[in-house]
Amino acid sequence: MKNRLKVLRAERNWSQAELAVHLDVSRQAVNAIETGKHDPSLPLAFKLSRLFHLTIEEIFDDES
Amino acid sequence: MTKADLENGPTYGVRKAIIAIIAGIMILFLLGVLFGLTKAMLDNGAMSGIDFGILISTILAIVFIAFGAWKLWPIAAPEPIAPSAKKSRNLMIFVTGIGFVMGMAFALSGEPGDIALFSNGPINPTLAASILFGWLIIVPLVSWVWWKSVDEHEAAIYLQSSAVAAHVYFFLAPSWWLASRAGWVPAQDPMIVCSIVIAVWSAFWLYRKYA
Repeated sequence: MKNRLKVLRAERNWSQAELAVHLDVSRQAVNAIETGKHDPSLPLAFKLSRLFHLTIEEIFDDES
Repeated sequence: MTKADLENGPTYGVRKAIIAIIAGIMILFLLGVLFGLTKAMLDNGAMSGIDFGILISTILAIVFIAFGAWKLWPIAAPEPIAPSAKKSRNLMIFVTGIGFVMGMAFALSGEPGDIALFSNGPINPTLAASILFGWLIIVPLVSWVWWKSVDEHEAAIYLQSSAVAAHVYFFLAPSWWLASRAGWVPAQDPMIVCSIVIAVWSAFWLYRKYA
């Protein structure tokens, strides 16, 4: 699933490791989500949504 | 370069490779020395002060090289780590340590030139009880705590890897059993099958995590 995580992260000048700490996951998990290799669970998607103050649809694109 | 670009920054691949190769060869050599010395001392039944000194020096040399490699290991920047990821990593290191100790105990229990892990010969009951305690009590307990601490990505790739490993078992075990009955191959050895399944599981898991 495509997403805007890398852009959102860059806007805040966060590394993957720093975003991983915010989400309490590993850096590899953030990398896997960013590259579309892993689709996050609903709880993690909501966590991202709250962290970036965006809706899930504004972060993830399920149509591509 | 912004922090957001750090994961695309220099990886110091050549330097890491040189450190890993040199330290790896030295540690493997010293582990061989340690193994040989321990085996010889156990066979002789007595340990002199000089033997003990050599043994301790070898262990200290291994620790020193490992520490040196860790200190020399280049990193682009200190990388923060989430509490759950740190706990998961530490538990993995702990289990690896237990595995190393159990492996050493196995290796020292075998006859010279014998691969103890794949041997079907008799084993000292005390040693067997100690290894079983580790394998049936400690490892499952630590594995359970590890499983509760991993994030969803790690859990997902672990389960995917387990499915691949299960399929390897489904195809390998009956095929070997049948081929053995036909007289084409020796009788099936459960430890070889188990080792192949664990190796495939681990390889796929590491590939999915880091590739």
